[in-house]
Amino acid sequence: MLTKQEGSLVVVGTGISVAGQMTLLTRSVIENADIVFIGISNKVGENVVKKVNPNTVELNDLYTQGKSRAVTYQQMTDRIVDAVIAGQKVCAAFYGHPGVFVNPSHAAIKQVRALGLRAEMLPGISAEDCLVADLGIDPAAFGCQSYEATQFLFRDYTLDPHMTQIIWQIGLAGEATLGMLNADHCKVGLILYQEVLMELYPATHEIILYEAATMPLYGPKIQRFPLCELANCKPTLISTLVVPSLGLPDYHTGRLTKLGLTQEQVINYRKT
Amino acid sequence: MAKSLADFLEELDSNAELKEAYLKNPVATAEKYGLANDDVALIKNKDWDAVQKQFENLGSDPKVHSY
Ligand SMILES: C[S@@+](CC[C@H](N)C(=O)[O-])C[C@H]1O[C@@H](n2cnc3c(N)ncnc32)[C@H](O)[C@@H]1O
Repeated sequence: MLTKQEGSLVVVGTGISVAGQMTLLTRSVIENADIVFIGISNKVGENVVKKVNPNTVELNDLYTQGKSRAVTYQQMTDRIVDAVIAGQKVCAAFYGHPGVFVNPSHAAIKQVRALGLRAEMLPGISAEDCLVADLGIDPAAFGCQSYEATQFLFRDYTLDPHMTQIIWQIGLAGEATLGMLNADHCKVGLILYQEVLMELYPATHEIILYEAATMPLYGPKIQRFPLCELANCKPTLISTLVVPSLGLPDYHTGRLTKLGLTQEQVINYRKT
Repeated sequence: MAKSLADFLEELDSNAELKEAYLKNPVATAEKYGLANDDVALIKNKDWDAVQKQFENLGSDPKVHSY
């Protein structure tokens, strides 16, 4: 007797560029899936996936200007999970890393696992990975704070100016309705960011509006300007704001003492 | 028949030799690949906005809300 195939889910990332940042395993998962749901922000990338597996269903049609993205993400999740429940071997492919600043990928995995079915996520190359490569900023150099632009403004976070700041979705900064699908409404958010940052950094501190290359025809867009001009910059939906560190903070002598160390000792250990 | 710009982009993003040739001489590489004249002109004029418009999925970028 034939038993019905049990549904499963693998969530994969296709990278930031159109084709070359897809891992071998991701490609193979796409190829072997019964159905592939895609949330990819350019058509070349979509076509690359469609060539590997023609049975694809887009998720992006669920976006509508004015509709809350919270609703859109729920609908995306439902589409993915319903296919798993129907017994299909499902792949959901998002651009970049599928688990970095993506709601429906995590939600779908959680729901599928709650049903007792198999779900996993494979890592992909995110915008932050491209940023490290293009800007030469190693998160280890100063430490790094990485967060969503609106969340930071709305919540009472503490920003450490000694760490590199990586601020995602700057083109939607301060946008509370979740209904905007363009970056035309962030001016007030940018003004507030400038104000908040100027409490901690000099007005002349150089900041960076960054866009990794999504097409291999051209390189990344790297706009450098002083903090006091932040309110006038024009981010897009794929811009990430980078605020470089003010430099390493002083040593914490109390903690060093507890570790039986002195500042001089650790400085000596660091010498090459 | 001319080859498509989409195929060129895919190949360029996964073939180091083609990418190197393109970086050295974009227009000649696009012509040799077999792109149509209009597509070669986009590259010649560095009309990246037009390329982006042709291929981007407008407004489909945000995938997260977290506040
Ligand atoms: C919903 S998140 C998706 C991130 C994606 N999953 C990743 O792994 O990079 C969208 C945000 O990612 C960042 N982003 C996406 N594409 C980018 C690019 N080409 N360059 C720089 N940042 C990008 C921007 O901050 C943008 O607002």
